[in-house]
Amino acid sequence: MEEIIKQKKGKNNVLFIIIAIIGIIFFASGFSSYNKKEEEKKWSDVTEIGEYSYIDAQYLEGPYVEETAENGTKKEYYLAINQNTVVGCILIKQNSTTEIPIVTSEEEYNNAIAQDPKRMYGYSKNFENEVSKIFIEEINEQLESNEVNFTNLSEYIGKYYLDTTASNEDKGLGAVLMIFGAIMILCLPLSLLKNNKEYKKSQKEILDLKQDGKYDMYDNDINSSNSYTEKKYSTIIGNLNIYNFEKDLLVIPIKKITNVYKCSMENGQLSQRDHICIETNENEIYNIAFKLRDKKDEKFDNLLNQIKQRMVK
Amino acid sequence: MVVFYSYGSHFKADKDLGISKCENCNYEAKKLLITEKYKIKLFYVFPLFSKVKNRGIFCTHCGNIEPLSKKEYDEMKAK
Repeated sequence: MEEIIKQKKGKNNVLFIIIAIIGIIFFASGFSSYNKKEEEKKWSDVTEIGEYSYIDAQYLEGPYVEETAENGTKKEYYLAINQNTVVGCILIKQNSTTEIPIVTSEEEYNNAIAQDPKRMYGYSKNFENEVSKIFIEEINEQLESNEVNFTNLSEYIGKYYLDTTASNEDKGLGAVLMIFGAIMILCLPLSLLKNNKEYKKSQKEILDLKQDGKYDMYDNDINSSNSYTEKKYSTIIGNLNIYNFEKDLLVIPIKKITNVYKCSMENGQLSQRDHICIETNENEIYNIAFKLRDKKDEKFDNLLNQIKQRMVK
Repeated sequence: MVVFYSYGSHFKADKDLGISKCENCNYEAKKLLITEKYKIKLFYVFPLFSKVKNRGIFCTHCGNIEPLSKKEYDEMKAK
């Protein structure tokens, strides 16, 4: 009996070891994609959209255009200036701190041009027509002419803009994988702790039985020649008692059983599960061996028949 | 677009058969003539698919369903 109780308590370990191994794989692949160094390009070398690149500039001028994303985030387009030359257009989140300073006064301008250029990273993107239109109007107004149009706008602000707000999708996926992996790995020590607690509890259960003098009696009954064991439902039928190990040790004296049947009701409602209901002459009701109602299970039927056969009529 | 759907068994009590002894639980309990259907519903309301899973006499004490053929079921319902 001691062996049965101990075996039952440690049966989930293998499952959690498998989950932890999968977790380690998830964590490792997530970690590698999260820390993958992206090849960065100089802004002048960018030839297509979606390239990770950087702009070096002394200050940002603007905002020229403001846009609101679907989630309500406000973003602004600035021109990046270096040595009094426009090097490109940058999109940043409104009110965010930027490596390249935003110039709004003459004092800030004087400070900025006295410093070395700063660097900002992002992904190259195409201008939306609406954004281009506003840039054309703004630049034409500043130049007091109509020389800028859709065809030559790129000569003034470049073909693409540097989106500093776009995230690296691989990095995001890597982070998600890392979190999932970490949770799965954590399941193992938690399961070991739980099993250890249950093991101690089972040891105490055995000790209590030994102190009560019932241990040997139960052990002999379980090991008798015509005892019936149904491992799936952690139940043993001896000559004297039915022993159920599903939760704590449950001992039902066979001679007290007055009725046994398959029941599909729980709390007065039809349940999705079937179980064996055992009633005794002391008006006690025991519910054991739960299984899905739609699932045919020979072991369940055998256990029910064995209890019915041994019941004192 | 998110499409909400639900699936599962649905019971319909077609007739109250009164109180009688259940062969399964040995209790004198109320019996119902029922059909159990497997249903898939769109947005939890609109039925997409429905299939009769079970027809029989349902014991309100133990939940046992004594299966009946379509013919037996129709005869019992008409009584």
